[in-house]
Amino acid sequence: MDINAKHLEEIVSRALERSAFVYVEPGGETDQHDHHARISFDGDGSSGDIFLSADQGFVRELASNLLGVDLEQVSTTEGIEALSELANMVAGEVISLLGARTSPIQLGLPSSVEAIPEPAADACTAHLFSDFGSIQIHYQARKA
Amino acid sequence: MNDKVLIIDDSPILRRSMRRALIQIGLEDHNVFEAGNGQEGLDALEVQAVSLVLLDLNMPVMDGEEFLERMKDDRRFSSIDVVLVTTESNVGRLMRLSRLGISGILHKPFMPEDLRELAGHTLGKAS
Repeated sequence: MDINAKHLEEIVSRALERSAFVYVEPGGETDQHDHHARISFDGDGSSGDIFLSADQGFVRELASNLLGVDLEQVSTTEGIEALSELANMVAGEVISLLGARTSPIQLGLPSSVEAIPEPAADACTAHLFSDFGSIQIHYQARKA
Repeated sequence: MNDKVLIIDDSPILRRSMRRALIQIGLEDHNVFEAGNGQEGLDALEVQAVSLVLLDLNMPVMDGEEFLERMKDDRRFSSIDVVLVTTESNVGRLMRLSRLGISGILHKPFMPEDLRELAGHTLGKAS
């Protein structure tokens, strides 16, 4: 199965709603994101990377909802941890779409990164925004 | 509720989120313990008796599968209930883990109420 931007929108929206009651809409395209997370996956015929980039407002909203505390009580570290965990949840759903139910696909560990690479021509990207900020999801399949 | 629960997950923020859900079903804060990987989980079991382990699979140092194998091989810990909290979707791996002995599976992303319900049900059954 080929992953497209619509898949990414649906997967991220669902993960945000279920885990943290954060509601997003498509749009909000910007390159002004402060925080980035990456997770890789490898399996027979399906390997790649997923990158998440978000601004300070978004990661604080996500962390505050996950923890059930006010926005002002959330630290930058907690925001970064929240983005990494979101990357983990999103990647789990993406590899499931790619066939992980029946064909083993190994998920790596999510990590915070300084920047994300320039998207390749065959990459797909989704942009979403919430009440407090925006997030970009970038999926890049890796050729065998 | 005097039950004690061990959360094993490499995400500190998810551990705190799960701790919050457990407190909401009546657990005391000091009865919820945390470990960042399987080895830390085994170390925690050596010093703290618990009735439920919430276990992530994909972790550094020692993953959840190795933790589960070693825990179930140890008579002191083999009867502790384990609920997997994981992104894992591979049917073969989940069946293998089920055969090792688990009480439930919660797929990430999950709603806090799903965790409250599953943990409450498992603890209720255990007590």
